[in-house]
Amino acid sequence: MPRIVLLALAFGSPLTSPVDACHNGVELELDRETAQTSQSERRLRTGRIRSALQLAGRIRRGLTAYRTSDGFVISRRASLLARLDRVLAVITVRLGGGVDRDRWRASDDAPRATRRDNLQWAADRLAALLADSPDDPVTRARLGEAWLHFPAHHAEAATMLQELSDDRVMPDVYGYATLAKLHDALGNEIASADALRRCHARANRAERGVCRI
Amino acid sequence: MPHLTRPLALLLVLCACETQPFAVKTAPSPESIGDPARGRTLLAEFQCNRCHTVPGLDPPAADQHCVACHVDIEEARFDAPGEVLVRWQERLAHSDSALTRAPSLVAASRLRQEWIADFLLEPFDLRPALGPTMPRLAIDAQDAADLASALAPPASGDPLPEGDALRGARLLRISACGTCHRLGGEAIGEGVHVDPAGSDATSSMRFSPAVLAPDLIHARRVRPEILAAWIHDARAISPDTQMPSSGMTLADVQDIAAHLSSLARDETPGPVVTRLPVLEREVHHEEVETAVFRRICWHCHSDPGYAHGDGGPGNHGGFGFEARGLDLSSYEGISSGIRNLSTGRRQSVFRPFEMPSGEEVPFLVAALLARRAEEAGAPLEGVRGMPLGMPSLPPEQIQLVETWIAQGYQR
Repeated sequence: MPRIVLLALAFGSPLTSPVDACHNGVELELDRETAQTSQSERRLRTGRIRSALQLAGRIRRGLTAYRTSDGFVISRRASLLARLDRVLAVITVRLGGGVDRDRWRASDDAPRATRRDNLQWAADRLAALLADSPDDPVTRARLGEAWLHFPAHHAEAATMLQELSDDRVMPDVYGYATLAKLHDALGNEIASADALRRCHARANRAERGVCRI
Repeated sequence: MPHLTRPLALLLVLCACETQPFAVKTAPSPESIGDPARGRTLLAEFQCNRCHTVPGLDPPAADQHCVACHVDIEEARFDAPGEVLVRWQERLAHSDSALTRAPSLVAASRLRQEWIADFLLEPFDLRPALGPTMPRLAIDAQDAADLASALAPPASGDPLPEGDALRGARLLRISACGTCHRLGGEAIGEGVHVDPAGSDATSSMRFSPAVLAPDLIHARRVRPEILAAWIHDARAISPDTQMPSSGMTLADVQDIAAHLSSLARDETPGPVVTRLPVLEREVHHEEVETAVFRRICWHCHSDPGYAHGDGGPGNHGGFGFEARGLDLSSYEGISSGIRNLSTGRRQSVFRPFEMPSGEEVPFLVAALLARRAEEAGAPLEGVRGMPLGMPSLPPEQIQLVETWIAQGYQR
């Protein structure tokens, strides 16, 4: 416990602050890391992937301080850390694994094996997050996107995302685009075209480029 | 000084009357309508202490107490930068949904159990100056009876208060009651009225104790054996009540009690406002988010990732509701739908819902319209009105949501 208090004092973020009252509305206004994580997600969904990585990586490095040497994560930060990991995993997937995970920076010249490792990390992290919230469509869609890089998982990923599509709970156009690509890879042309059609129906002007195989 | 004798004697008589406590009559061994012990468990289960002071139940942690949180903001005790607090205070002062006051349930002991149970099953606007109302909880008749039994003693079986109801009506009009209370939605008498809900209300008026003043048309909810005593000196019965001592004679309060007991609220369902047609212009999520979802919905339907893992009662469960997993704070959250508790699968909040008219509307819109129907006294089957226990959204905001969905709910 004293270690936690010292950490809190050192990083100037009181553990017992009442700012979690009213939750989202308060956190996004008062907590810098929360606001910046949200901002990095916004950059990610508008296609500014490197900029999203730069911001998310910086927050992630800072939040490492909230993890004690024996791996204990201060509970007030646990959910934000999980969200940040989801953001970083999706960025890693969308950059084809081309990231430096030690510094959380883009790495265009990352070797093939490193990319593979990074993609595996992203898929594993997303699978772990999904295990915590098994029916969360957003994490499902993102895991499906990661599994696009792993043909052995294509069928499973397609089934998982098709269920979201059938139930009309696909979180966004990225999910539909992933589903279209998965069906295409599996040779299901009609299902792929259907997913693309749904993708276009949901896409606003800025997102239309996402809906392609 | 013989000329003083008669007034002095009269004064002594009056003083004697004023100081003599009311004898609250109770019938022998009355039966509760439910199980008080189970009711006390339900008070905790439904988290009544997140809004109310509940006898026998400690207040929740600061981050769980909806009313205390808003009061902390209102009174600048909330740990936030000054400019942020000022902005939030402005928002609270101008919102008819500001949950800054809730009645103490300690005072519920003066009420009839049957009334409490009925009210919990079909809540209505009891306090005209208070924006929020009692929410419709996920309870059945037995739950309601048990909760009522935990909050109030059983009825004594006493008849309604005796008195001169006509005189009571006249007295009420010239009394100070109308300063805070209304009667059947109308002002009482021609004295000074505190109108915390009025458009010209100042912040201090909106947050004054008068916001809790119930419409006196509902006075029959008070146990008959206690009504006159309550009017006479409420704080002698419930020390934490905002109701002041009336200062009236016993005869006067008896007559007023008789008058109020002769009244009943009009339960005829009012007209449900027709919804507006969808807009011609394009509506994107950002506009709906700013105008609706992030104005009120996300208080209960939060994103747990940005709320220390707690998605609020509308997401992770609370107020007796099971976890439905509905996050209205983001585009992805809304698109991800809601957990169907029967099947365990998620279902879209945009799915069609059949209204009583036979028309199908998206479920999310149906929930918003259901709140208007609840306010009109005609709750819809199969959908709970939203925002829960808050004033319904204006038709223009519902129109915005409906237009966005009709246009394909793009980001």
